Amino acid sequence: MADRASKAVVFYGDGLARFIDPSHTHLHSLASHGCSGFLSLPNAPPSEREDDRIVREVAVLLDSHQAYLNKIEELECWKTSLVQTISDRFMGMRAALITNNSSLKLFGGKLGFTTFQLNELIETSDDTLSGLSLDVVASGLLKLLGFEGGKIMEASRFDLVFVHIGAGEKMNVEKDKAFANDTEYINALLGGILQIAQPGSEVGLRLHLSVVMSYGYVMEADQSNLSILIPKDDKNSNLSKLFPRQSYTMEGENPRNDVRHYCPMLISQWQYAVTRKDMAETFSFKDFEKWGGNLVIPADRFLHEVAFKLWKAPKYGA
Amino acid sequence: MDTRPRQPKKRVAFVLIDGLGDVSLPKLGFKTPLQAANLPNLDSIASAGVNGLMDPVEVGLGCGSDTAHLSLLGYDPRVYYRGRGAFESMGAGLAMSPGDIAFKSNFATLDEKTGVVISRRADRHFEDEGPVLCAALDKMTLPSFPQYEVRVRYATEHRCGVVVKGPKLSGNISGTDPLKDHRLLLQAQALDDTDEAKHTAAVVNELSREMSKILVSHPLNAKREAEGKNIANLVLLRGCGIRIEVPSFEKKHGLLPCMVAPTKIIAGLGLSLDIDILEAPGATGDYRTILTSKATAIAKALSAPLHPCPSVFVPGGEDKHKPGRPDGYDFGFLHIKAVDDAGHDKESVFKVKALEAVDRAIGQLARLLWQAELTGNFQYFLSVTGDHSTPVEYGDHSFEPVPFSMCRLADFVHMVGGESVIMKISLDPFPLPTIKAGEDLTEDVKSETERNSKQAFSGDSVCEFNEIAAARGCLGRFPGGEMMGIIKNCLKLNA
Repeated sequence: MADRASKAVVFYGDGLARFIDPSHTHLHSLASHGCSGFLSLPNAPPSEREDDRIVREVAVLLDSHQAYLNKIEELECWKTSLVQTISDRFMGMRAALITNNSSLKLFGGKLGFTTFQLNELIETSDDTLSGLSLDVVASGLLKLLGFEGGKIMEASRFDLVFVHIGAGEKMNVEKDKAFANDTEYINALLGGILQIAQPGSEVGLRLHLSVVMSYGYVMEADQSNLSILIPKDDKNSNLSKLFPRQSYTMEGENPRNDVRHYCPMLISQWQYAVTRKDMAETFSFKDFEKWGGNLVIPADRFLHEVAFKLWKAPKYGA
Repeated sequence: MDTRPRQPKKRVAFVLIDGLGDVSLPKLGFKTPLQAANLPNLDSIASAGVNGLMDPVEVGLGCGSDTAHLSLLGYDPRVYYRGRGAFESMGAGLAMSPGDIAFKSNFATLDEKTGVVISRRADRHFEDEGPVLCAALDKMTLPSFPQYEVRVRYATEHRCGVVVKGPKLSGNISGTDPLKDHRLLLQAQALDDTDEAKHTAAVVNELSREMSKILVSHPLNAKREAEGKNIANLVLLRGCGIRIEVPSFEKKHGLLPCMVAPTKIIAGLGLSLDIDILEAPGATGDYRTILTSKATAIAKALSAPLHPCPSVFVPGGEDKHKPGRPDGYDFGFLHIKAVDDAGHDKESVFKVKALEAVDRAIGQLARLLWQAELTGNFQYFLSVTGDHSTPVEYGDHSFEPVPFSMCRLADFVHMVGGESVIMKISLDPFPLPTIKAGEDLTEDVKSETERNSKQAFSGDSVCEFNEIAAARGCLGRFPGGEMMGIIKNCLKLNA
């Protein structure tokens, strides 16, 4: 409902963008109903460990990159309780982070997220994704936001639930297969949520849904295949003279000095009567590039957009 | 002998549609109001020119009109913005110098015994009595602070503008408004540790007390009391702002600017940047406005000296107007408020219809400018955008980016079908449409066939003016601070 504060679920498929295929119908359905685009990231530091990458990219997505750097450098402000929490920054926002990654769990806790593993969410000892009933997980996630039995409860524990899945959670199986399984899991879980949050239903009117899929570890070849740089129009060099600095390359009035112009995160967002509907039909880099309505924004502004829809970010000015 | 100058003067008509952007509405078949509306002229600007998506201040930031306008006009609000008070007061006609502070103020009712604000609005219909009470307060003195001058001017309904002029004032203080009825009147407080802020808070608290003394003893209040009405014995002082010190628009951009903006906060912002505010009779800044009057005023200002330039507004002067620049202006800013009002009022059908009315007025503007361009003295450019989105089902400003378009007038004329077509556009003034209760647009919403029948003519491949099509434009997605650069670069391009 546009004139009530929303509650938000964010599915973050870490390193799963390469594994989306036509069979992931719920992802494509979301893209075809919502508004899609790219979230740009900074470059990775040299020789970064995978576990560090996982935490760093989530930190960017939560606009907490500085807190991450403080952690890496083991600064005093990180060790003490001087880290500004998500609640301090966004008007008392109550947020949960669901992840099976222990480093991320620690980091999220420091930022003021209440952290869970998926099995903790529904009180089972099975810590594998496949062991959990999707319907039960979907209902459990919505319950955290105060949606129960298709209704909105008066009280809720959280305003935002951020679900981190992927980055090879099941390293005991072949890695690519694990990623593919995780992608299918997000697709199926999204399907479960969409089933409950039907357009126009009580839940559908209040639930703001984001799916973010990242590329994880990037390769040299990705620079040309997955570039977000707008190609210069050789036929009309006049027009290229007009090309302004892009929003994703700026921080306030200042240029960002570290932008990776390829392998952005892919994002699709939808809420009935609250988001725009663009012309993208599938959840894919190519479709978002050609038809996405959001183009590219810096990943660290993502949470500000979501917070605004939760009425947890103020208007600037009159 | 041909007396025409070799190089026609390049001038820009810039149309700012307040609250332009929106989201996809189920009631409009999941189109935005811009997509649903029939906008032949706006679509022609998009087809004839360059397009992009603009974040008025920054990605993900829901902004007010004041911060957004500053950003678009090239003034970083994070550096220059000091609250809305000064803009409101200057727009209401109070002269301000840099360093003066101003408040957006309400006549209210105070229970003097308890200090509780009984009603934050003494009376919504205060058009007759408000100016009388303002006159009683204007030029009042403060016993403990005689060095300060106080100016008060009536605005609208229960509102007035209050300006305090004098040394060492700070805009960084809280106001006296408790924000809800039946709460205690607040004391102004310093919002930082500076001596100026603490001193200003003391000045403002005395101002509040002295205003109440004058109002309590005013015969008009005795009359209201006898009639059983709320007395206006308090002026709530809120939204303190200091007049910003900035380089003028002309100095910053090298373009002589003028503006049509009956909305006070926008006019005040323009005045702060030394932009001349044109007189446009019949332009009211609300649903009663006559858009033709705005288009005519901008067209005249951009085609002077061919046509006499409209008069310009002088805040604080005995005579409220002075002649406009005889040789006219290079940058004509036409502000349209009604679309934002429709968003705030949650009137989705009216928002669509208001956009169609704006489109019609843009047609009139184009015709008037084309007549001037035919003389060979001028080359015009049309630019259209918004200052923020006001999603109509949300009812307030939001962060979604807005479309931006700019084209040469000559290309626009080609796009609409040539000179014979544009010269047939009626210049008759027209009111904004009225909407019947329960009216919807099911049959009027623009069809896919209509949308697909258009073609881009020059610039990029975009041929519609809306939030979704703009994402395909050659300008990409850019912050508002880049906008003036695009406009100035457009002026420099060879035909």
